[in-house]
Amino acid sequence: MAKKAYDPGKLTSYCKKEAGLLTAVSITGVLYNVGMAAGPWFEGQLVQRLVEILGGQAEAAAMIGLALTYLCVIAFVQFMRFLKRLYVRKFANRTAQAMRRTVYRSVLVGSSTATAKHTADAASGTLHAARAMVDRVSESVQAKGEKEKASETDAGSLMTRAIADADDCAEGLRKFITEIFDTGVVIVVYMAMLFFYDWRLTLLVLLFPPIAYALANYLKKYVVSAVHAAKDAGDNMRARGLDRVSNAVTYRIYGAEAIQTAEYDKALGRYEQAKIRSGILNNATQPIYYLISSIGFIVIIFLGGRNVLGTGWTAWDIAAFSAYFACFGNLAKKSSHAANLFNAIQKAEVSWKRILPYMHENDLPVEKKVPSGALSVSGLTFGFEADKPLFSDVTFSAEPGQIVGITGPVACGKTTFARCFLGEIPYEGSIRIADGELSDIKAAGGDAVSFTGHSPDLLDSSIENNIALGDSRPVGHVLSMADFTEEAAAMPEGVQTVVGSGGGRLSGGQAARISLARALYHERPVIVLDDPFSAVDAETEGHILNALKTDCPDSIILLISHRLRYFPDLDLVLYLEDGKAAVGTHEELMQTSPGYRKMYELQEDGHEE
Amino acid sequence: MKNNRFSLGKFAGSLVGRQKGLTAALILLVVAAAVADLVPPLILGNVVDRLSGKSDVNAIAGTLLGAGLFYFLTIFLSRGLEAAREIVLTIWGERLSHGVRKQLADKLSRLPASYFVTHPTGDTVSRFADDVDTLEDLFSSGVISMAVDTASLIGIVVVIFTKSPGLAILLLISFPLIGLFTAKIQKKALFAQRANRAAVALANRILPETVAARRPIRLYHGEAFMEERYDKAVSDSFKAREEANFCDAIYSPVVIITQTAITAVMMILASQEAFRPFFGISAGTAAAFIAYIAQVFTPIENIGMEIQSIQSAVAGVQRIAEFLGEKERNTEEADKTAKAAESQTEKVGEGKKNVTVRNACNIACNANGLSRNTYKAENAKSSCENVPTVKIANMSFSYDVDTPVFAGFDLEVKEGESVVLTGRTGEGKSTLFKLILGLYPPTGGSVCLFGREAASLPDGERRRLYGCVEQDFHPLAGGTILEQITLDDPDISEADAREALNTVGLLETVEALPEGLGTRLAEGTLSAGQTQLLSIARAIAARPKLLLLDEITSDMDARTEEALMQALGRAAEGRTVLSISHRKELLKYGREVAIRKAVG
Repeated sequence: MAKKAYDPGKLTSYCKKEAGLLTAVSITGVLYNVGMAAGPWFEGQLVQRLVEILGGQAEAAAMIGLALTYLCVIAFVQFMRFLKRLYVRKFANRTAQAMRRTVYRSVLVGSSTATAKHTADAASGTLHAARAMVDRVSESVQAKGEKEKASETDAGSLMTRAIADADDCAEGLRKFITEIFDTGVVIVVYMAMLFFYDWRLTLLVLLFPPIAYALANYLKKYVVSAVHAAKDAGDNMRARGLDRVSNAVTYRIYGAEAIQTAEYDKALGRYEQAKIRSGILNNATQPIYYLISSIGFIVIIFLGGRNVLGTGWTAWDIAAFSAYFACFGNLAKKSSHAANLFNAIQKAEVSWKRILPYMHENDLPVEKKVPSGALSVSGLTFGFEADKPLFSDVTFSAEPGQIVGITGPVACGKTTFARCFLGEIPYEGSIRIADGELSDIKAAGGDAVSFTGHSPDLLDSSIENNIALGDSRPVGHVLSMADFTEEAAAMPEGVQTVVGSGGGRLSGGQAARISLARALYHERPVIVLDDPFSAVDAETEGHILNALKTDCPDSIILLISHRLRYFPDLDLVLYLEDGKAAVGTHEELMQTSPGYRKMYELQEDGHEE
Repeated sequence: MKNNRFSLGKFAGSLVGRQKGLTAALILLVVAAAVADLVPPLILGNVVDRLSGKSDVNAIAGTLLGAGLFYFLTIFLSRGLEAAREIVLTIWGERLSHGVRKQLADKLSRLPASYFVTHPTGDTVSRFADDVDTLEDLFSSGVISMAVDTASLIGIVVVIFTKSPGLAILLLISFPLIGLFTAKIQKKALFAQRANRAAVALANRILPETVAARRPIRLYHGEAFMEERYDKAVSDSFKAREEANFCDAIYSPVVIITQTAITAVMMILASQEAFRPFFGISAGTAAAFIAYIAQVFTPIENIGMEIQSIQSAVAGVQRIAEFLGEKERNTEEADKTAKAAESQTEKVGEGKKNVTVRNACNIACNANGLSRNTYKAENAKSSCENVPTVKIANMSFSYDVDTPVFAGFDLEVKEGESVVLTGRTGEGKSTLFKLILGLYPPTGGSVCLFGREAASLPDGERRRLYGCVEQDFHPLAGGTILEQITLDDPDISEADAREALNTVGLLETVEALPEGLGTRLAEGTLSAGQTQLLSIARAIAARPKLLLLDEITSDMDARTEEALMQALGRAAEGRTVLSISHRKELLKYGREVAIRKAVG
């Protein structure tokens, strides 16, 4: 498909894409609904024929042909209906899939505006929601840690909701198309048939449905508001129930069980009342429409009967009378569903508006190599608050093949330091990689940094997939660098073993090493390893460090760790404390930085952690 | 623990029994509506007969208006009865659902605390929500619609049988066929739907996973890989759905074709001389029967459709029954012991020390010679120095017989004292807390608060005796800040809540919110640290004398932690404090007691 012609932000583009299916839907839909008129017509003819046979004006055999034709025609019409239903659902499915794909990619590639917009819409648009959002955005810059976890679940449920909206939208489209034919077309066909039999009578009987429609429309708002109230009460009742159950232990501890059960009962009472009210309104108003339309039956029996007797406007036989009667009955029923057509449009529109922020075409980003070279960091400063930098004026440089150890006391800003390299937070000062400024490289879409952090972030897929993420190069060498070859081979399906949701089937150390292998597999000029050994024993740690030293000649490795056992072997050490960085080799720091020396000696004494 | 025998029949009977009048009205309306539904086609048939007779044109013409009006009147009556039936049905169904939900909630209070440990919350919630929903659907549509459909079906067949046995036989032959077809399609559709649901679930699982792992995905450009994965899952789900679509699309056309075939056969046979008496059809009855045949197939179709909702409701009822049949905590026995304790206490007060083993706990609780009653009176202040706030004597406890958590454990916390329980994970700190909170009764020995057995403290007094800061804050769904603190307890005033907020240093923040204490607590209203402060405010709002602090696990930055420690310090002022921690900082607040697991 041509790139410009297909715009996922326009509903028409989905229709164009499935033009073949839609044509099939149209043809079968028109045939079926036009054919709907055949039923009453044939039924009239059947009764007429019976009258003739009983009256001796026709042979009994004459019925056989007519009845069989009737059966064949109806079978054909119903077959068309079957095809129409099949096609329209197929269309809906394909559209839903196309929409899902677009939404998924939007989230994948990450358009935060869409996410933010969706939050605002979804959270019922109250002031609180807006406030909560502002808070969340500002806090996401301020406090990380557990806050991030919370927003992650948020993002997850947002995404689920967006996907559900895409489904609703496709479903709304389906209903709309269905209603166009099954309500729109069929009403026109029935009306044409009525006019054909007796236009004056038809004008008269068609007076009633519009009256009924107007009245129903007037009453509708009461019904709708009652239904909404019932839905709200239902939501409230369910939320209360959920609360009562999930906080059961809290309520028991606080002795509040009876109070809370009473609160739940109150919510139940409100729900019951709202539901009854909406039920009464709904059921009491529903027949009104049909009843008003049914006044037409009086007219038909009175004037149509005169037609048959030969004293009316048109000369009718029994067939005409029966067909007219049946046709009007069908019309009255069908047109009471006319509102469905508009409801379907409305519903689809609501979901469409909600997913619209996601509906733009995104290209999948691809790896953009960056030449490797020396790393030179100068005057690097960062702080969440202007007057209280987490660290300031960090300056050091390293050559490819070197490993830089970074450490410091708890909450000294080590992880934040790593995030600067990921380009996730803005920094002051300069980070140059092979003479390119990191922020410029990032802006140009370049991929200069690999990273592995505290959480391994694994997918519920095979070990190989988790490392390669779709790349076809073999993973053997990084497995061995991460000291995972034997363990992987011992697993039931080797590197094809599925690791479970979030790596749940692995131990923490195993997951950490797969995450490490992933970072090494996607080798880049700078590899940042944030505390990769916390779940790994000392021996393995030594193996891995050796491999890193020999097998990564083109990369600079920034190793953030609070375990200093192997720091003497590293090329350079950074010690972060109180916003300042001490830089030097291990020996130098042992001399110049009392904090570092103390930390190292404490661990040497065996008081690890 | 007693095993509550749960009888489904009794349960249903008691539910319906409470709505006797409504149930009777409902049955009456169902029958009346079914009968009324039969009349209009008969009148139509009569009109057609008269018209095709053409005997005396003027005489017939004169009756037409009357016939038309009468026809309308019968439609009016039938629709009116239908509406009335549906209204009564709604009321009936909603009252029953209310009753079921209330019973579930009551049951919740009677469950032992262990239930909540062994049963995932989601499972219990789904019984409250989804399962009762299926039941509600059944009440409001399923069962009754089926009864209604069956009633009108029987009515129509009876009418047809009296007028035309031939047609009746035709119909009776077709019913089982349609029934079989319906069952087959239903089964197929159900199967397809299940496959679809599994595929959808898989596709939906990828969503949170994508979000959780978005950093490496974006960093290493795994986007294409993820998209392919997702697309495949979605495709699979749609493939499964195609099958369901087929069932959906084919069902109703087949039913209508069958209906047409019956009409065709009826007309052919009715027109043959040989069969005519058997069918006894005139032009008018033919017209009426064509209408009846259409009417007969609607309920058959509906019954086929309802089977599924009935099946799911049956599953729902079973799950509800299972929940209502859960073992309950032994409140009666607890009451009995409490009474026994009272009499025992008096005896102790009189100095008669004939103590039975059974009441050892209560004796231990009141070893200082203070009777419950005097203690209550003195609850406010003073004189209690002799009664330790917490006294655990020779206590043993185990979740299951083989692995004792405690054996012969003793602990005494005096009024005003601060005690920190330390010990590694899994050594039983949390279990000890649960015992002190009375969530579990000890298997041996005694756990007493203020000289009274912890497990049998009355609900109304708990918050006044102790406040507990839980590990995680459990927000009251949709509740305001005020409600988060009071937990809807009418005895805790807004002033109390303000004071508590002030103590933890959160008052200013809360008052700055758009609606102050009336602000609904939504995600993001308060930061994680502030939420912890709110949790402390909740614990101290009823001014308890004992403060229990569970380990606060969530990671927080240094500043937040400092604010929290200060708040805890202020909250602890003038209170007895018992806390769990591996944080060294807390130790400065009190005496350390190390918990070690009993060796079994």
